Formats: sequence, structure tokens, C-alpha cells
Amino acid sequence: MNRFSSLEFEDAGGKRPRKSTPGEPVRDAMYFYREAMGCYLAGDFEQALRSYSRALERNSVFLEAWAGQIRMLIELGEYPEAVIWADKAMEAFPNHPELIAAKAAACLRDAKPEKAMGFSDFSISQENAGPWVWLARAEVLMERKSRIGQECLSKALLEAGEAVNLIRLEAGRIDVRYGHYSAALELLEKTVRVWPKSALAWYELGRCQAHLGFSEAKAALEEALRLRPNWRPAAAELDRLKRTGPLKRAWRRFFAR
Amino acid sequence: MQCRRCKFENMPGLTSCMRCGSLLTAPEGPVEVAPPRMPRWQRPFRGLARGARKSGILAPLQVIRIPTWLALVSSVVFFGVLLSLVPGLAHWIQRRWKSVGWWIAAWAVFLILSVFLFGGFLGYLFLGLALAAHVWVALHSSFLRGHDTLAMRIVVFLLALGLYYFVYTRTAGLLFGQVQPGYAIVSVPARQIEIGDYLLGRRTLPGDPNHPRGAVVYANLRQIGGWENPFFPSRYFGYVQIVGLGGEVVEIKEGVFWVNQSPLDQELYPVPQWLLNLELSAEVPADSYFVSAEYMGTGYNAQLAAQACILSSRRIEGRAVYRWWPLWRRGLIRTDE
Repeated sequence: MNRFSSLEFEDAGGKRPRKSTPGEPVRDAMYFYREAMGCYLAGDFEQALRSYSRALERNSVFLEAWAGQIRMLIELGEYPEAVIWADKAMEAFPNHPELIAAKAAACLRDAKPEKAMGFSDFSISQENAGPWVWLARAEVLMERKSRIGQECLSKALLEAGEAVNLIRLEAGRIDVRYGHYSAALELLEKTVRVWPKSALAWYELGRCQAHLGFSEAKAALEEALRLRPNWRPAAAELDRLKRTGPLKRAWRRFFAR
Repeated sequence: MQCRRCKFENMPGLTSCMRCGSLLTAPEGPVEVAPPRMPRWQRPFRGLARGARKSGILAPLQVIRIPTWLALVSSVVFFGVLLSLVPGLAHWIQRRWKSVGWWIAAWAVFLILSVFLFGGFLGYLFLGLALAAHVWVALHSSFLRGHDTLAMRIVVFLLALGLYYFVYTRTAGLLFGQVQPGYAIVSVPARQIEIGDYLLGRRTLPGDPNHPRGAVVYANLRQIGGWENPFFPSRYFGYVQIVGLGGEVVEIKEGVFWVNQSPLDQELYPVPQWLLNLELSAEVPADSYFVSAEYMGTGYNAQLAAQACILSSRRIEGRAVYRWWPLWRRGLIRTDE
């Protein structure tokens, strides 16, 4: 113990930071952000949401964590809450395009396409519209069965920068969601090559392959289950796949797009 | 310090961006970082609402444009109360429906419970609660915003309560006009009817000569056989059982009903307690019925009892079809035609 270790400072408050042992990572906002990303890639959206919250506890002006929370609420099907939380985040980041885009995505999933289009228009009109803005735009347009949706996905990938893998995964998921399986397949295959330990990526790839009638779907879903045992959606999808007859698979193989 | 959103280079020490207003440093004090969560029970309801929006069922509602003058009118106390005869209508016009959503849900629950438990104390209690919730919603649309005096609130609440009570009784009359509720004053074990059961019946025309033997009918027992019934001091209605038809001879021998010299099944036609010790014989007039009802008291003579049991068909107002109360014996009443 050195002679200054017991000195008290004003900003120390009642709590003392826990001393970290050598080799242990510093549990700062970035640490929890990475943890949240890990949970997200494993398809554990509930845990990811908690980790994003913990990241925000450390740094309340961490935009990515706010946006992550909103995205997780959307993944969990809590759309009105996602909109409320986007508004809350916008108190710190007024009219941030990514947050407005998240609102658009939430409204779209909540079957409010007009509102979603409004928010999407507004988010695009902002400066520095990033990849998430284009992803939301793509989703809004795909909902309207517009062909421009695919171009918006390409635009999102171009804008992605360092986050290209994440955006690629999201783009693939959007394609799967709207039935563009062929387009999704390429994106998801690239994703699993980069993130071979992502249960979510394997699951989405498996779903995509299943819809295309590919026999590899089984292996992809089993891999997802191996990475995250007892994951209900993957197990259910695998079960559905096993119950799919050869005729249906052949039909999909030749006619699914 | 560069803003992460607009890339504007701010002066050191600033907490928010001068250009776009985004926070540059964390604000002092605690910040709420846990998002609101959806209660689990809401999930299916939200799914239904989403499905309705997707299918376009709600589209006609969304295109309704409410004129501004109507919203203004609805905020006047009288019109607010009047419009709220449809629960929440005034609020819907004012686009404040969510502020009373829970009250309307409570009203609906109370109303359903009151209908389900109608006939018992709880039924009346829930009906009262539904009425009160409805009045509160109506007053909330306009009155409660401008008047703080307790006395004034109580007076208006009571006035609205009176108005709504009138509306409720009229509406119930319209909706359930053909339903005749009443208490059984006869016990028929074979049909699981006990004295005091609350029965629901179908209204029939006075003077209907087609009621079969064994039917449980709702009748005015004040005047039986054309004279004032001495056993009931005032108007008295209730469900009784038809034992003998017009033109038949009904007798009671050793605690069993006999009709035209043939005994009736004791399970289906039990003799009421007050008639058990009587040896009775009566010829039923053409437009009347011989009915079995559990009158109060014992020791009446046979002639009086025979007259008391003969009921003019004009006095019959309905025929029981359903045992409504008690709950555990709810069910249809079958009458052998």
C-alpha cells in the first residue's frame, strides 16, 4: 500500500471501484457493449438488452448502447417500448438518424407502416445517415414490396464501414424476413464464415436454406443448436425441417427464390 | 471535442454539441438506463391488435376525421356526459381515450360479471360498480377538468348516476325484454329446482292456454281463482309448477297428486309441504291451471287450498327455461311436453 492510497477525493462518492485483479478485463462500457454483442450474436436478446443497460450505466452517452437497447426491444417484440425508449435516447441525441430509423423499424414491425415510412423519410433527411438508416429504409420498402429495398440493403452495406459483418447479418435477416432467400443466402454464408461461433447467424442461415430446400439447412440448424443448446427457435425450426417431406423440399429447391 | 453525430468540433468543456445538441459528456446525476418492458400478459392482446391492423379491419376507423367543433362540444359538461353514454366516446372524440382506457376496461369487466352473476347480491354489486365507473368516465371527459369543489362533484355525480341508471334500465329492457327472471317458489327435485332458485324464462302472452303439465311458469299470485289471496299481503310473483290443466280434476290423496283418477309421479310432481296433510279435490276451470307452489303456513282447509291452487291463465307471464342461480346448478330446464 502506498501512502496516497487512503486519501479521499470528492468524486469518490460512497462506492469505491472494485480493484481488478491482474489479467481481468476492465468492466467499462465497452466491455459490456462487447458482451451485449456476443449475446446478440448468440440470439440471446434478453441478455443482450441487460448488457446494453449495464454499458449505459457506465457511460450514459454511449449511442451504440442506446441503439442496441432499442434493437433488442424490437427483437423481443416490444415495439411500443422500443419507440418510447428511442424517444428517451433522443433526449441525449436529438434527431439522431439511427434512433429515428430504429423507431421506423419498431413501427413497421408493429404493423404501422405509414408511421414507419414517416420516420424513415425523416431519418434519411438527417445528416450522416448511417447503415442502420438504410436497413430500416430497406425494410420499410420491402414491406411495400418495392424493388428499391434491395438497393437500400446494398447502400447499407456500403455505408457499414467497420460494422460490415453486423450489417451483413442484419441485411440477411431482413431478406429472410421478407422472403428473399437467395439474396439472404449469400449474405448469411459470408457472415458464418466471419463469425462461425454465432448461433444467430447459423440459425438464420439454416432457416434460409430450409426455405430454399437445401439439405445443408439441417447441418446449419444443428450447428446453431450446438453453439446454443436448448435454443427453442432453432429446435423448433429443426423439428419443422425434419417434418418437411421430400416433395416439398424438391418444390422449394426448384421454385423458391 | 468532436461531436460523434455531426462531427462538429466543439470547444473543450462543452457538455452538448453546439451544432446538433447531442450530449458530448455524460450528464450529472443518475440516468435511467433500464428500458420499460412489456408485461407478459399483454403479448397476445398486442398480437391481436397487430393482426387487426395488418388485416386492415381497423382501417375504416382510421379514416374517420373528427371535426374540431365536435371535439369542442364534447368538452362541455352536458354533451360530454351525453356522448359518454357510449363509454369513452367523448374521450375518443377528444383523442384522450387512453386516459380512461383502464376505467373502460373495469366497466366492461364489472358489466360482464354483473350479467354473469345477475340475480344474486354480487350481481347487483357489480352492476352498481359498472354504473359508477361509467359515470366517472363520463364526468372525466369534461366536468372533472374544470370543477374542483367536492360538493359540486358529488351533486353532478349523483345527477349523472340518475341519468345513467335510467339509461341502463331502458337498455336492459330493450336487450332482455323477452327474458323473464324470477325466483322459484316451488321445489321440483326431478328438475333440480329448489325454492329460492333464480330462474330465467321466456315471456309468454297472458291467457296462453298451451302450457303443458309440469311446466314451471312465472305468475302473479296475488289473485288466484278470482279472489284476493289471503296468504300474500301484496303483489307476489314467482315461478310455480303446473299440475292440472283446464277441465281436469285434481286430487291430493296420501301426499300424491292425482289427475282424473290417475296418480302422478311424486318426483316430477311433488306435493308442497302445506298441502301434504290435506285431502283435496278440485275441478280446474277451462281457462285456468292447477299450480303447485310452496305457500307459507299450514293448517288451511281443503276448500281454501283448492281455490288458492287454481290460477287463471291470464296471470301467467312466462315459462322457465334456465336455472340461473345458484351457479353450480346452472342449466336448462327440460319440460316433458
